[in-house]
Amino acid sequence: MEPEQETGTDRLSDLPDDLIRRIMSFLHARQAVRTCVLSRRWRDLWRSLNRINADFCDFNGETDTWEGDQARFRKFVNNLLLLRDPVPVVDKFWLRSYLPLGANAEEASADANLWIGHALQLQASVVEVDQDIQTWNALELGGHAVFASQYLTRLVLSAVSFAEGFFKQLETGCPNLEHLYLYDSIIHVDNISSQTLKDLIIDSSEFSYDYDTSISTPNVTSLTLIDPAGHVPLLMDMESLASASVYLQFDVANLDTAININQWLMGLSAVRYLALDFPVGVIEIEDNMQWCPEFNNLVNLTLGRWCLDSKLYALTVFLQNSPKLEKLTLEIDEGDIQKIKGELKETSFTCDNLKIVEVTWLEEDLQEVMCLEDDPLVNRVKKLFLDSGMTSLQINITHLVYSLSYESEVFREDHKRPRIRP
Amino acid sequence: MAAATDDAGDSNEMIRVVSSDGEHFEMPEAAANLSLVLRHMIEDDCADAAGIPLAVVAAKPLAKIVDYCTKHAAKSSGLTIEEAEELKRFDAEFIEVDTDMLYDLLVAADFMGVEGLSKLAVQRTADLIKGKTPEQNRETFGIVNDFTPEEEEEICKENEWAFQITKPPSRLC
Repeated sequence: MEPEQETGTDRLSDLPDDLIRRIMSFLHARQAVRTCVLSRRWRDLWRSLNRINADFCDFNGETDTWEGDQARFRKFVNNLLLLRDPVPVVDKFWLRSYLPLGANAEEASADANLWIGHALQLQASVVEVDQDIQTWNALELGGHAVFASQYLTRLVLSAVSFAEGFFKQLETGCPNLEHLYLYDSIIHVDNISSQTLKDLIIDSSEFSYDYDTSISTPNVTSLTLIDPAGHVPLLMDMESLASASVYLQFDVANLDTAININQWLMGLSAVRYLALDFPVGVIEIEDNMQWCPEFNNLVNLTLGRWCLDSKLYALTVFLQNSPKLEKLTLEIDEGDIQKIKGELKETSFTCDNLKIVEVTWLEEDLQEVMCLEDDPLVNRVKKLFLDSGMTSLQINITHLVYSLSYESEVFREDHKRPRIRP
Repeated sequence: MAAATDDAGDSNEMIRVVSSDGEHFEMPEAAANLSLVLRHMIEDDCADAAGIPLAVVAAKPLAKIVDYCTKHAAKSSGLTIEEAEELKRFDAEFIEVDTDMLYDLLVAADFMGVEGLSKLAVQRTADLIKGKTPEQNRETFGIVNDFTPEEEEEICKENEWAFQITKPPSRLC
């Protein structure tokens, strides 16, 4: 019944220009330009796309050396930016580069800065810089007022480092920047501050090992901080923070005392939704030292194994400081257990609104699931709530495959890594 | 006018639409709301028993669009990972259509303002173009090369910065 594809009827070319341009916007720039030879209809369409996806990988291996490939890539992007129509404006500029061992990162960085600056002059609201996963070196961004644009709202950077003054430039030069996502980057700066950022992701990036970086972003409502290396950045002004996902995997040098931890957690204390995995080294908290601030807005809390020592000390402290809590999730994996230990004079807590406790057991392999209804840890958790008189509390126990679920609910929403290759 | 009730939030309400070739379809209001055009018609009380006429959408693509909207409306917010994956699989299968249907969907989704479907169809079309030589693309889409050989050579030369290739990409990426 299906009609055979009639050859000779070219319905693609009959689509309105706007629709064809939208289709072409999903192509890498090189392929988009190459449609110019299809027919007269297509000859100049590439000139007026409002997305530019410039990918080094489209040139990779064309000559015998990286330098040769890079030279062609540079020539391509330069020509593209020069020869495209000045209108329409660009709404998104995406650049992917690749720096092998020994590559001239300085030159590649200069190119990248030039192109980004050009895209910003074309009023790009989204700029994304990605690197091939096998890249060896970071691109250094910034310098010479590259990042000055009232149109830029979203900046996504992978495997980059920052020229001196980069974040200052961003703060003063980009008054409408709301989303800043940094992946696999080197962030050796004293201070990141912005009055306009609403959404901040810093994933697998390196801060200085010698000093603390402070982050002052009073309008950020959503923060994701995953596996920072070096000193964990200090969160200074975070009064608008509504949801935060913090997953620290490594030992954290600057969170080694109750006072430091307290100060650090204070930066998160405004949140409503919090997912916190925080495997600090074993810390003995003496004399009821206060390390956990009050979370007076917190309604939804996810904690990892770090808070579950044999006395459930850290969990109890969190519950004592979260009076409005409605839902608690405990994500338990088989990893090393490092934890905060301490003695509590008073172990009771009041969470009148708490309705649900989800205990999520993270498995690497679902085949190995044991019966965990009787697990001592789960029983301790149940007992904790019973002892505080919360008899009607609903406690659910589920098993999830590690790779799928380690990213908690809040975390999953925020963490959409724009990495191209799996 | 008469059939549209005041409780606009009631998603159990069925909305009728009529294709350009006169076929009638029904979908839940929540599904119809995924189309900007239908949503405005419903808000303006234009959804009556006779059905909303869609003058430029034929029955075949309309059936697909009703299918798409119904599926997506049933699972809108608060998806679990599994549900999101399932929806993704549905989309992938849904858009496995011949180029004729693809054009119909491109135009109809654009006209009806069904954003998710429009993006899906656009992405699918781009995927068909990707990685192909101009000759292969002409073949896939039935594009007639109306350049003279001299003109074609000139264009290639003019844009040689996008064309020059010596051997297929290999090392990584």
